[in-house]
Amino acid sequence: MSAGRDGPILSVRGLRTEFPTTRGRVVAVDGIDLDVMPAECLGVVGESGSGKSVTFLSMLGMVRLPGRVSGEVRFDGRDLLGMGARELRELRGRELAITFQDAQMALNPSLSIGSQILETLAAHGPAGSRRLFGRDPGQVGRAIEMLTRVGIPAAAERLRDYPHQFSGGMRQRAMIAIALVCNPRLLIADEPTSALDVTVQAQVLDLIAKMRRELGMSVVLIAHDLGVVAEHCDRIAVMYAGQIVELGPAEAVIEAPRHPYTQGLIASAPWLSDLTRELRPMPGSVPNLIDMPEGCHFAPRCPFRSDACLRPVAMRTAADGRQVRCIRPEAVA
Amino acid sequence: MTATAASAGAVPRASGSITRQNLRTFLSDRFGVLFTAIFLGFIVMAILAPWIAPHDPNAGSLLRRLQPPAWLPGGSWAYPLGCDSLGRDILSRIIWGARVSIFIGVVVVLIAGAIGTFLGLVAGFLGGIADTAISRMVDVLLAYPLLIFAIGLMGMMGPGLMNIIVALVCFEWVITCRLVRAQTLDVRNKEYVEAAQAIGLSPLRIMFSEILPNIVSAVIVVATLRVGTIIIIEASLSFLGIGVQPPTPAWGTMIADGRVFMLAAWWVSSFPGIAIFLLVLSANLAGQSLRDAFDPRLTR
Repeated sequence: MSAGRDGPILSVRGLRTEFPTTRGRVVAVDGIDLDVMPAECLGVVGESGSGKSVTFLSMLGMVRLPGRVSGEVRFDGRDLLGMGARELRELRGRELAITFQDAQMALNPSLSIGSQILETLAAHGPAGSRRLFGRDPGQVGRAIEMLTRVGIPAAAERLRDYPHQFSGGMRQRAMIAIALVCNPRLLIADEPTSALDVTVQAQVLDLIAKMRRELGMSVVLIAHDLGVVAEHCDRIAVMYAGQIVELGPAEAVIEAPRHPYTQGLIASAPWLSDLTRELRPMPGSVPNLIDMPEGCHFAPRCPFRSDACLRPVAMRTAADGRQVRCIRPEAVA
Repeated sequence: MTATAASAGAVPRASGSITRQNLRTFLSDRFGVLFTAIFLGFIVMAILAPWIAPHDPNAGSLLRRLQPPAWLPGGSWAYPLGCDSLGRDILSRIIWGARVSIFIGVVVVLIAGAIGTFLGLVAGFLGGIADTAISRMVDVLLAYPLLIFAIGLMGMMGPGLMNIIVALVCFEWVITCRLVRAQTLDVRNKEYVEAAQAIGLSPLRIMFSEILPNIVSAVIVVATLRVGTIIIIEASLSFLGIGVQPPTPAWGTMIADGRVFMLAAWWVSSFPGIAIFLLVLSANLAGQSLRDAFDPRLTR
């Protein structure tokens, strides 16, 4: 059943998601190729609207009509896009989990934290426990254990609490508990820290790292903050306007970015380690996804653009394995 | 609305459950509590009718024909509200009549509420053909005046308690359905529904255990308010002679019986009229104060 221990757990080829609108077709995800290895942490960075979240929602079959998804997504050898709705549903939550940016919005305000955890267990538990109503006492213990593991004190009592009685950080922890209660093999954490205070951000990221070690799962960490990703991820994928523009080991990408967009992103972000450095904002803004430039999507903002950039640019792999979507020879050097 | 302000401020850790806060808000509304008590009083009266009614509601005597209420000349305290044209005790008939009115009001709202909630959830959550089919049916039914629709159905089915309930349910589900559909459309787009899908919950589970808890308070409130309307419609049907059939005492039929003697014996029609007025008023005001206390948009 397994595709081998060494193969990628998630393998994406030519993923494309488009939405027909009255003003034309919006290509939100434009040909994504990506592998996530077992127990790896992959960071995905990009500005708002670059297609980070849509990419992963597309893989999980969660793009609403009229959105159309094409390409190939294999999870543990199984084709996710060709799967029936029921089969995919079995997989979601049990083997593939996702947490959302704002836990306040993503937790049901009318259900206690406990019943939200139990619901996940009930949906994926053994056939006998899949009751629509009522609950299994054995699963209550599991829910308490999970809440304790994500660092919620007095978990047994807080099981009965509602989301509005939790603080922001606690809500994020509770949402992680819900996602991880079935021991998934891949966690997609969509901007887990964006809605939190800086002091709590580090705690939540540490928690995700700890759970990754304990459960031996892979993590995809979606963020718009390079600093968050740099510290916690093995590899980084940088997205721009629906495409991956640079992919490589985290340290290498941060230290020596090769794509002009990655360079601009790093130059425009403040780093505590070097406060004397001057911040350079990137000129221009993310292009309208409806009439995308035919060539390199970044060309209109690129300081190095040439006529050759007006033709479609493919992802190129350098000798050291790093991948860059740029025609300049030094990018692949 | 001082209690609302207080509950919105600090969320007490120990007694923070939503229902208990709502209950407190509800109890602090004196007016609401009063009318809820009156409404509950009618229900108790209906349940206890065989024991508390002073006379057999159907035992008449022409000797007491159109006997006036106790405080008017010719009245007697044995028949406090007087007697009708067949000499039957009006008070006893009102007490027994409450059974029919409340039973029909509550049963119709419960059945129609269940059907409407289910169809509304399906229409709102699944959308597509299911939504189109259900919504068009709702639109068509809403285009009929309720009373005419009920008269038509009763005309086809013939009078009788079960038939009244069926006829009223046939229309009433539309009210709940429309409300639930609108609320579902709103809730469906919330991130927590998307999160529930991401967790792998089935559509049925999402509808009933994720969406329903978020809209159920609105459904309950509207249902309470509708009980009064249903009671009035039942009384109207009985008044027109196509509702509850004699000898079963019903307020509508009592008013109809008395209208011929309105000038000579006003009490025959007036007391059941007052009963309908009080019951519907208390049902509506109880419903309103329930809404004030339980509607999430007003409390949270």
